[in-house]
Amino acid sequence: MPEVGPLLALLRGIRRRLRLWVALEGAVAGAAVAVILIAAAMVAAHAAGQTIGVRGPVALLTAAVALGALIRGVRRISLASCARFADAALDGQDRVLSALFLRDQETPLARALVIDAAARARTLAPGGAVAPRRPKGLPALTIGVIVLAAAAIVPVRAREARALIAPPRAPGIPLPTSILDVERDEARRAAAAAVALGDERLAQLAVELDGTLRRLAAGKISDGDALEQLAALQRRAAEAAQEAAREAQALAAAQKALAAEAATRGASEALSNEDGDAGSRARAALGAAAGENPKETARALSAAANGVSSALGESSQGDRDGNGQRRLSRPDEKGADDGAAGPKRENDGERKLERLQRDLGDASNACSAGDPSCRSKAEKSGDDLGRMAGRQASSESLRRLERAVRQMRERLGRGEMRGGDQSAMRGFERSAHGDNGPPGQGKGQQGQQGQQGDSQQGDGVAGGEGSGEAIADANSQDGKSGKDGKSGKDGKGGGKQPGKGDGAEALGEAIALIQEREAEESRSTGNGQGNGAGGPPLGQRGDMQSRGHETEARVTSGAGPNRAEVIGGAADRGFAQRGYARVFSDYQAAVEDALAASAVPEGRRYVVRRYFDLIRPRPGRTGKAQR
Amino acid sequence: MTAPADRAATDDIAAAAVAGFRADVDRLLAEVARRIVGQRDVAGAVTSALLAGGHVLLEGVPGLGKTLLVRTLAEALDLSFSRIQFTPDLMPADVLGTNLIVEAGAPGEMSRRFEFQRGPIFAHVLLADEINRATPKTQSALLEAMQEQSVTVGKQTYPLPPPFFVLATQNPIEMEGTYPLPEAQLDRFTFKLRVEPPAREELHGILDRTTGSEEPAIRPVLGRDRLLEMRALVRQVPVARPVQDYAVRLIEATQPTRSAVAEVKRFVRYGSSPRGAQAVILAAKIEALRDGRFAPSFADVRRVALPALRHRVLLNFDGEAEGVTADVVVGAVLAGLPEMA
Repeated sequence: MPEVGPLLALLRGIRRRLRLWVALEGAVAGAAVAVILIAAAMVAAHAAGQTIGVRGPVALLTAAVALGALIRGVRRISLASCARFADAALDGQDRVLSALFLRDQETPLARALVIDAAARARTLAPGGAVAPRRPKGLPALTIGVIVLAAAAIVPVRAREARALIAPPRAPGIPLPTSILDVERDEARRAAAAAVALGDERLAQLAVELDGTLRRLAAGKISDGDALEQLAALQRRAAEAAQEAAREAQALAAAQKALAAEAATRGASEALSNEDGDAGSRARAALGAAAGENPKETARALSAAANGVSSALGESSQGDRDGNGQRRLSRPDEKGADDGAAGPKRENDGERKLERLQRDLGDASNACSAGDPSCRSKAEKSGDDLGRMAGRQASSESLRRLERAVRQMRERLGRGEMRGGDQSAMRGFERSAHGDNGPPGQGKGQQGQQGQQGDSQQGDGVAGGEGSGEAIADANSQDGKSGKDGKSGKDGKGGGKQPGKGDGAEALGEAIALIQEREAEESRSTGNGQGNGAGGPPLGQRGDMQSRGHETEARVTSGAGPNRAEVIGGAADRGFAQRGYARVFSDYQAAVEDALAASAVPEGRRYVVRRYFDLIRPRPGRTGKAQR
Repeated sequence: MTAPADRAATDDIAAAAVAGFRADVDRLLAEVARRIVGQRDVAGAVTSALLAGGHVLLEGVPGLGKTLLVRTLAEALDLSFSRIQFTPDLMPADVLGTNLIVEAGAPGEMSRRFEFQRGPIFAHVLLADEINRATPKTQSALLEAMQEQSVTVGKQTYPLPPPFFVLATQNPIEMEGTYPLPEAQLDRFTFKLRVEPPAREELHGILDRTTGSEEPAIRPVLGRDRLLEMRALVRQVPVARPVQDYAVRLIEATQPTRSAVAEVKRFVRYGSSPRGAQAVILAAKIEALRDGRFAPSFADVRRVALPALRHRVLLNFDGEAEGVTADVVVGAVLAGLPEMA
């Protein structure tokens, strides 16, 4: 068809123009890549204290431009694409494209179409169809040139001049003091237990926990640092608890063996006391028994040695299992003192028991052989056994401290210390403690065991201020001396922990901690602890500042562990406690009442009921449900 | 081989035919506009469907001039017109017709025989008013007529007089007591058009024309034969392969199993059938002719895609629940589909 000629001529002209532009785009893209590479090479060279010449970059640039233009310029450009450009320049009705594809049809309308398109094509020049356009790679080229210029003007640095400057450690953000009240209470409670039991390691851990909490609250350490320190504390508390439990087990075995013989029964009874005087009593009782009846004493000491030996064997097996479990579950917590100090401590504990076993055996042999050293060796064995009295209580305190540290780590890790749910969580904790009233009011209803408190409203303010501050001042000297202690016999933590003071210093610090905390409580008008009966767990009806339906749990008043302790204890000892079953039924009844009276969506009801189903009391190890 | 002179003459005739088509459509729409105020797009689309040999489903609230538009179009084209008000108790025989017993012959020699009494469907332009109020059985009576242009009663098939054009209406608001049209019947409509309420100026024009003493009379501007010629011309319009390919890809893109468009995958149960592609291409050809062009463009395809496809894209439960409409889905397909593959 002759009319197609001008049409095809136009399209070929457009194709040439297009090829030129895409080649130019390819050249710009190639140049951009080359410039970026040169800039990167220049930065790297300058950082290494070297310079690069001009010839190499120029050659690279030239080659990249040529290669880019070639790659893009030789790509196939269809006439259909050119027709799209022509149509866009005409009226956008795809006349040229249709004519191109229908040029071979002989129907009248197809011919008319081609004639029409050819006539319009004559009015269009290729340059009009393909307008100059900005190459797509131009922004990248511009950025590359800027980077190259910057790299060129940056002076070359000698390697020696590049000092490694550690970035400043980001300080933490201070926390409100009240945020960490629960944890500080735990630290104080552990300190009190340490003082009562004379447990130096527990005292040391309590003091360190308190110090970490103080630094965190003051913003002196970041959350990350606090997490690290808490992790180390948790590990050490767990190890100490394990060791104490092992010793308690050995002591129990020895006690049982001594109680089997009439001559040494007095020593066994002396060891039952945890008042700190058990060692001297046991020493005296065993010395007397060795003097009066060396044969029976020998049998008893031999049986005690066997008991210690069996306890040692069981605990070693348990340790191996426990360590395996820990390695399986916590592979990421290999701290500085995890690999060496942990096993070392376990070995220390085992060696201690082995030594005890050996001493008991020696004493037994001496008494059996009628050796004159029988009495002195028996007395020494009594001393050694007496030192282990109270280890069961220590173990429980250490477990409790370890759990508190773990919960603190979890809260801190989840960001709850600084998150929006914080106040709600604290409110729940206070409710669980029965501490719903404003400070200074209703303090006598708390039921904390043995704590002195005021049961009259407002009395704590006047009474607390004077005595609390006086105690704090009087004991500040003790606190300082404790903190100044050098590394002593318990300075095993190493790693990131500061040097630890000796045992006496640790206990001194623990006493200072207790007294300081008491002084704080006095200044802050008391923390609501008293010796009255336990209050309702969700507060007095009408007092609770809750967003939802007010409710009241059915609670029986009386002394005993508070709600938080019962629930917390359940995690350690299983769900078979009678107290837990009672608390559970109280809360479940209150929640069911609330669900029945509130417009709670069905999906949420399911969540609540599912939760209570999960935590319901189950049969304990004895197989009996304690309900 | 055709001589150049003959060829030039043929070219002139083709150009003249296209120009004549454009002029006739313009005259027809101008005549319709003498009575119908506004609704130019609807009138144009109804005319396109008529020229494509298809049918139209009009959706709009009562009182927007749907019936008047069809009646006016029939008058302007000098075509026979009938209207059926669809109700729940309407039977197929009421639409198609029925066999009646008639007596014929001289007295004493009377004989009885069945004679087919034609129903209202035997007209050039049929207005099926509120079609979704009839039962599916009665709605189905239109299926054969719309597709085959014939009616079968008993064993006898009766051809319908060409052109046969069905214009059905349905009210989108009062859905109680209605029977939604089955997919097979929806697919037989070339376009589904939405009739929007008139603008303020248009409302003034309606009042001026309808509340005065004189009502404009409609003159026939096109005859039945001219209409059939125009239909034949539409079929002769060539389509470039890229444009046809665009229409094909458009149909594919409405099908959830073959589409790359997220909205289609998520909200569509069934996409358009091949009838959708036929409707799109025919309507695009008419758009080109109405613009005086010899072949449709990508823009023509895009312009007719919505009325041609909106009733052919069936949404799934997610789409219904999310309140997504077929218009949104077709719009997403048009936005995401490149013109050239």
